[in-house]
Amino acid sequence: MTDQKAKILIIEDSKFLYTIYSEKFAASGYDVVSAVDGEEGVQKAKVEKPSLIILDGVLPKKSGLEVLEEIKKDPDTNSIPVVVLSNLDTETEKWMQLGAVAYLVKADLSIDEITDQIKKYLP
Amino acid sequence: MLNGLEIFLLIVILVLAVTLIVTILGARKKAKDSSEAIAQSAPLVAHQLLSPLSIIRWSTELLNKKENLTPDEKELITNIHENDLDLIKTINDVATVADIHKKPLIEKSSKTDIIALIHDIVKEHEVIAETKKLHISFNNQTKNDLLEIPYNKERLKRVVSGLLENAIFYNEKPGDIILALSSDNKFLTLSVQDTGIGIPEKDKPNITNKFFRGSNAGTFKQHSLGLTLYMIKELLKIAGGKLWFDSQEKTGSTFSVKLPL
Repeated sequence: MTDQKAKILIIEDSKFLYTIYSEKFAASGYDVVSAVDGEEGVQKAKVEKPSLIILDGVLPKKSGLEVLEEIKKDPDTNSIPVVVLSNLDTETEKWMQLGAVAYLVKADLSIDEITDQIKKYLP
Repeated sequence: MLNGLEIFLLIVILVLAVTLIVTILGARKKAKDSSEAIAQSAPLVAHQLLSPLSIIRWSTELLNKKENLTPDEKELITNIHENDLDLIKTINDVATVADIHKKPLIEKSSKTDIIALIHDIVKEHEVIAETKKLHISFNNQTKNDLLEIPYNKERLKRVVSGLLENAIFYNEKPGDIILALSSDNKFLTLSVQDTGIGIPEKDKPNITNKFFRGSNAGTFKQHSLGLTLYMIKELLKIAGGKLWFDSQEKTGSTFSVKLPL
């Protein structure tokens, strides 16, 4: 049996942030796939079946909340843990009620703190 | 009996009075609408400002890890990083104050583990504290390892971070910061003790007022708006809690908050 790397789907429209996350997680031995808007995010969640989804709160085409709702409604994807990254810190409850495992405020945390917190939800 | 002129004057006064009342009511409604508009748009405006600032924060963190930086380059990057953190904090304070009544500290549907939250906040601030040779410790006197309370996590985080950041930033020499949490049946009490610059006697009555900065705050956190203590005081007032302090200039301060259970 071969070791299969855990796969992370990053739904993030900022190329800079995507590059940071992907380099960090690739260096820790994870496979990383990306989606640059909400629609692509929902589609890739179904196709790629990742071990974890990192979801930006504000996205083009479909908002982060809509993406989370769709992922959690779909039996094929509803068991995938979703970590939300945003700077809108007043809506934490809404995201958690919709099924996110964590809601992290980007501006409050360093890159190392963000990646350490995300790793808690990875196999 | 009133004569014709007196009746005319009375009617004029009545008309003026009614006009004045209508104008005042209109102005009050306008002011209310405008403050509601500010409260509603504050989170979105904050988000738009915080997104590029978080990118600057992370970029400077990455740059600072690069090898072969000259001391001048390192100092410049550190300056950008620290000013960026200041701006993030100021925007967070303004956003919190703008919708302070809309999103109170106590939230019945929430269960926030205050002990885990304090540990996380201490960890988040260790790096910046180390650069100022400050040691942070947390003395949990509650006999609990987990203590869930019906408080909004982000709001509670603003309270604890605000006190801790003041203890870090208003400090010019190596020293200690001690957070202590105790409880009784009705309240949790959190205190943050520092060995910082302290508050001059004459400033003490005003130190928690909106936009007030201590007269010795001068070069410390020059971009601060003087909102943090006001924000904490107001959040606690709405929750039925309290903020108080004990301070001696050039020796240090202890700020304490009482959180109703």
